[in-house]
Amino acid sequence: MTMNDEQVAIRVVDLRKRYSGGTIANEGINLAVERGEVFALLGHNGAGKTTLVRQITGELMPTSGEITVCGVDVLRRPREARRFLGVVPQEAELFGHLTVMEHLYYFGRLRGLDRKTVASRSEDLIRHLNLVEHVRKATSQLSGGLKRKLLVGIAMIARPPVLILDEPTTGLDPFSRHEVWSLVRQCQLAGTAVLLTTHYMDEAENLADRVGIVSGGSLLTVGTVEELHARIGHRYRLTFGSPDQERPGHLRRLTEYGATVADLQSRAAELGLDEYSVARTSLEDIYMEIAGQQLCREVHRAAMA
Amino acid sequence: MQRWLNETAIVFAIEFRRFLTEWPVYLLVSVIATAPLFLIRLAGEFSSLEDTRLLAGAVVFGLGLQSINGTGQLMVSERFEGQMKLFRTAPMSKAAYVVGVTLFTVVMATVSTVAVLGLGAAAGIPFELSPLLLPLVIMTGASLTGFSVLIATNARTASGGALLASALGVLVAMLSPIFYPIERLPVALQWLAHLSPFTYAGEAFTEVLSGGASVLSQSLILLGFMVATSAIGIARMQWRER
Repeated sequence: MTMNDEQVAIRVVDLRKRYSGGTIANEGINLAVERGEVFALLGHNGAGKTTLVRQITGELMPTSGEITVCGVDVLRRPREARRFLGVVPQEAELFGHLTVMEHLYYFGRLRGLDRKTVASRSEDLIRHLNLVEHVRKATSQLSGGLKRKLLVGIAMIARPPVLILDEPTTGLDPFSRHEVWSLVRQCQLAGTAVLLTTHYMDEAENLADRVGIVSGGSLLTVGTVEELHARIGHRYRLTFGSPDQERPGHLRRLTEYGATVADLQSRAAELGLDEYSVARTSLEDIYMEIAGQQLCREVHRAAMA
Repeated sequence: MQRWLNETAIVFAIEFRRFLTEWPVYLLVSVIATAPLFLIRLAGEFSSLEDTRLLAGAVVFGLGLQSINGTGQLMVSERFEGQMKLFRTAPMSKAAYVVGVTLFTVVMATVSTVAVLGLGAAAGIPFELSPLLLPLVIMTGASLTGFSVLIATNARTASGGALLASALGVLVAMLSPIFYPIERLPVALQWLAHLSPFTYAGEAFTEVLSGGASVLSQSLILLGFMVATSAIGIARMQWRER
């Protein structure tokens, strides 16, 4: 996919992050997120997603490479670049002594909004995030999920052209997750670019136009869910119980992949199975295959070392 | 400039809300930390000058606790608990954050001073209230803000940073001759005392509380410390990690 500069909201070129202890957290990352696009980054814990995000938000200095947000160089002009960003950091905490409304007010004002605009947008966000009954509560009295929703509200209050959401729905109940998803979709419709990291495959599948899989600090693959399906070459999975009674219980349920239902059915017939299920491969299957292979390589490399 | 002032005012407002909900704690800490200092009067007869110096020393000691300890611990907790991230990901300058927090420190310092002067009055120490007290409180409270910033941004753990901030606050106050004249110190320690803003703060408060007003030189030195350490703190603060 090629994009011209005006279309690009976030551009990352040859990004490398090496910590002083020698750990390489990101290596050779190239990425472009278009305006109005939702881009989901998937990766296991420690894969390098948050390090990448923190460099884009200007919290962490890269070792080398380039990052621009709406054409502004994050490395040279981080403060100006942040004017285009709304961020939900992964490990941010609210001020326990401030109420929900006060958070939205102060952080809206910090982004240059006038009192009237802050008030009307706060009301909108509070309604959409279903925080109405908590508006006057100090955030020290809120549950973790409610705090997370408020962080999403703070990121969105100034309606920035780029949203960076680092695991925004972690700890949220299903209803709250859908509230956040609905807000993200509204932002997308308004032309906002969204870079989202998540461990929830359904979240990425529901929201993202494109998905990137990160492992070992590198971006292994990028594409739409359809493109990733095509890339791994099989569209269906066969799940069956193993006839081998000697196997432990958890291994009796096995999964095989194939390009077509017929392939899988023939495999079932070959194995002499009469009880099995065939389903379309999910994003989780794709993720497990791509990231799983990389993980195996990393483990092997570590063992050899 | 307007934007910077707005950012500073918002940081101050956020921190000041903390004071509005927790002011009894701040007041209590100031009283608990300085009240025992007045027990020294039970040891014998104190001259009027010694009384004033004791009161001035208690004021400076309280300000030391609020400035290095208070500000340092506040910044350390905001950094490690994650509130600082909300500022660091916003389009604002680190100078606005430091100045906003310092202004909050000045409020706490003022509360501390009022508490200590109240204790002094209760202990029967005579002193003069002067408008010069306020600028002295501000300059003394902010004279070592830069150290708090350096501790907060360079600490590797929250507990380590908090401990360092506490230890440094007490150390600076103890190394400064705030309860007695500088001449009573050994020569080597006199040199060290000259490097501490609290030495000049002690002299200035003693002068003003005893009804004098000749504090221009001490005020200029305190102002210099305030500007220099704040500038170093802001310059060295890691708003973006490496």
